Amino acid sequence: MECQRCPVTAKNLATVLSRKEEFCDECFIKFVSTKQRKQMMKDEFFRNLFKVVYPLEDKSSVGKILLPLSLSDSGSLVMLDIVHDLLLEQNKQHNNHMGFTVDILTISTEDNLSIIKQHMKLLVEEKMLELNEISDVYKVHFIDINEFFNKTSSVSNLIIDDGNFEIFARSRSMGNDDRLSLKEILSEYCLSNSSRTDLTSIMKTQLIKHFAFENGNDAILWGHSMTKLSEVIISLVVKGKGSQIATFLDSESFDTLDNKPCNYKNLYPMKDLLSVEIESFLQVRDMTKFLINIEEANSKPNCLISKKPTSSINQQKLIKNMTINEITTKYFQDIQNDYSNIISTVLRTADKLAEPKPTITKTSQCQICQSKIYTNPSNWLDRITVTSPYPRETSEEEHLFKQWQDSKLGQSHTHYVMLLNEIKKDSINNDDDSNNNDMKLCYGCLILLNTSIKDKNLVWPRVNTMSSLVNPTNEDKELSGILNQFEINSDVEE
Amino acid sequence: MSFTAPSDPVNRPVKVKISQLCELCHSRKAFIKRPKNLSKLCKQCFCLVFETEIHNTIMANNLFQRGERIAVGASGGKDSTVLAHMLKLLNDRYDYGIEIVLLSIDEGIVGYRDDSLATVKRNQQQYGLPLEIFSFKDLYDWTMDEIVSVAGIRNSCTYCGVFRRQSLDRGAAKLGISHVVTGHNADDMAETVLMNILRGDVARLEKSTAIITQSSGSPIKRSKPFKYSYQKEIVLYAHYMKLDYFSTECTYAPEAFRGTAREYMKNLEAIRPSCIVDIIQSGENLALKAKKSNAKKSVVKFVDGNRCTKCGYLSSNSVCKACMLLEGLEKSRAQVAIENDTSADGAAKNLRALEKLSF
Repeated sequence: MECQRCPVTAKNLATVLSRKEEFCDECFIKFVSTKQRKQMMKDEFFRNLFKVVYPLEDKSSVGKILLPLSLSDSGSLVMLDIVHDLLLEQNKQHNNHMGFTVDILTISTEDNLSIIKQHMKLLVEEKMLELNEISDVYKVHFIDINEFFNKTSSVSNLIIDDGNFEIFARSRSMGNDDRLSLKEILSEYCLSNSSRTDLTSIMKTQLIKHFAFENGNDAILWGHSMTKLSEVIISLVVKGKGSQIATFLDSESFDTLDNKPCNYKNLYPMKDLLSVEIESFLQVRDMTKFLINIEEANSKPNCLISKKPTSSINQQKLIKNMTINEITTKYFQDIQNDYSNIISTVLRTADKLAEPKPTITKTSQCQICQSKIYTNPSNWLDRITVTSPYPRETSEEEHLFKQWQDSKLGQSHTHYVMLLNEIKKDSINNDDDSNNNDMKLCYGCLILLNTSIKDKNLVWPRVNTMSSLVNPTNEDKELSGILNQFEINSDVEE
Repeated sequence: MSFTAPSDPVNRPVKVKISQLCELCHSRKAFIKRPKNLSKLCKQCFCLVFETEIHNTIMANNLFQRGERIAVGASGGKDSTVLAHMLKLLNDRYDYGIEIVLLSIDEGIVGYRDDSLATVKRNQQQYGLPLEIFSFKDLYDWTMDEIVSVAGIRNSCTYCGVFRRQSLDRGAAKLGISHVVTGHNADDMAETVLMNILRGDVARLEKSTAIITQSSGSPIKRSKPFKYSYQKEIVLYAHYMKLDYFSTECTYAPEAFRGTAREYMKNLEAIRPSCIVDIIQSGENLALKAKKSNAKKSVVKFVDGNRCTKCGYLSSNSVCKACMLLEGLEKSRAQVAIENDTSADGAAKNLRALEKLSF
């Protein structure tokens, strides 16, 4: 089988079959790169951000992008590779000058930090060093996910009234001894895998956005493929967060954080690429070695002609042990063969969505996921859910009720009611909080708290008090610091 | 020897464990896990909660006006049977002051619709409500069995859907009723929201969750009081209330792609039961971007209240969908037919015949 893109005189052997077309390695790499670059040049803002602007002395025209890199996700790695190629090209064409700098941000946990650093070292040696010798293009940053709790000075204690779904919040400042960690939050409060995944992903997104804000980046480049974006869109719908789709996909406006305008925009450069294409690209470029979970990467579906994926671990998982995201991924994998156009249709449809018109007088921000709130979620849920019981009629029923009150179950309910009353009282008395009447949670987070969190009660950092994610003392020497750590020869240091 | 009375196995008092008590009243034994949120409820609490939620939906959306005549689209299936029962019950309990009429459509599916219509007729007796039946044969001169024999089984839902929708409106108009109530439930609603996104049906995206649909050109409005009611709860309620309904699915195959969305929702429901109302909440908050004006293109704009040039029914195009489908059907109608031919009677009849076989 021959590549359909090569010139007739020099046909190479096809290695990839994608969108009914056969490609050789080289043509496939070009195909994927072009798709990504097209998105990176989609409007004037991004064109100016990435191109080399003359006169070269004007340093303010050099774009500063943030690339959140996850070494367990192929998307961001492929994106980095294509961005790197663009930089190499600019460097060659513009005589050692490049149009933008890249801050690479990796979020780690205590468990995987050492392995991430090992793999990052490999990546730095193979890719970044070469360009950094010319100018400081790359900076590598690591953030521990627990910084989400460490860098905030106060937390909210959120609770839902199980009678009318009203939300109450009590804030308290954090001392050094009562710091929370991701592990504690997930094990103490979460009742399901889905809520654990959702809260972790919210934390990561918040950290990345706050980092970009503090670090003065012009854009965040997210590594979502078309497939991944469609999955996220459907997951948002399923989790009752449909109103957030338009903001999530928005790459035209500057982002906002806690109602404050930011100087960066969000971009999804891989939105024209299917996940099978990204997986294949990684294999073709022999980049799976950088991933920390090579086996999992090899089991993902690809569109290579000769190399088929190994059997997946997820296929053996029972539905009840899966998260909403995993079920959605499985759904898209299942229908991909019979209804191949669904993925692009979902994304195209979602791109046509706008923010809904608010039905409340003042919009506010969700205290958990920071998204805008357009309707009163408690009222909506209360209207469609009745929680008052059928009255007790017989003496036997009275007797059983009394027994229940005295039992452990009754007492644990009493404990919940006491906690609720305590937070309610503090929340109402707290006159300093001018936002007391604002909506506190979006519908999706209200449901999360109501159905998957123990005692409907969660302690969550107040994101508006988060600071010092970017440490000013080592900012300029970030990369060199890491390079030292990786024991790379001192020639490359500034 | 003294006489010891034997223990009474039937009336022996049952000891209820505390953990088995209803999570709302904490005083009666729980009988079901509520599908909507998996809370354990007793029969009394479940029925009260289910009825009150529907009453709340009716009141919050101001569905009925005092003195209004309402036609309940009755198929004999669980949704419409519970709907008829519920509206009568709530009308008596909360004094809505409405007059309820059962309105049935006979699509002409031998072995399916004739059986379910018998159920509707029994319901009419049980609830003491007037019943009117309109048939596809009378309105369009086609039965569904005939349509399937001409157009094939794959498109059956398209024809049936278009004709049934129009028939309900025509039937209501004939009875002088301007409000048709249907038994669409939360599962149907959520499925529609998902399908519209998956298929990219932008035109229907914003309005798909409306509880009342109305057009300025039509005197007939439609509403869905079960918009937030789970299908499983409707079945449980029908079971507890011992309602008489017809439980067989239509034998003409449902659309294959819809099946995949249904399966997906079933899986989601297993891990988060609230997902059905969550999808509806999302659907209510989907809004489209304003279209960029394109001065060069002269696009025929959709006009609300436009009429079909052939039959005069409400239509967004010059000829309504039903007339378009009918025209296609007429072209394929057999010129010569065998007298008393029953071969057009569809799969449902064969299935019924097979069910009655015994060895």
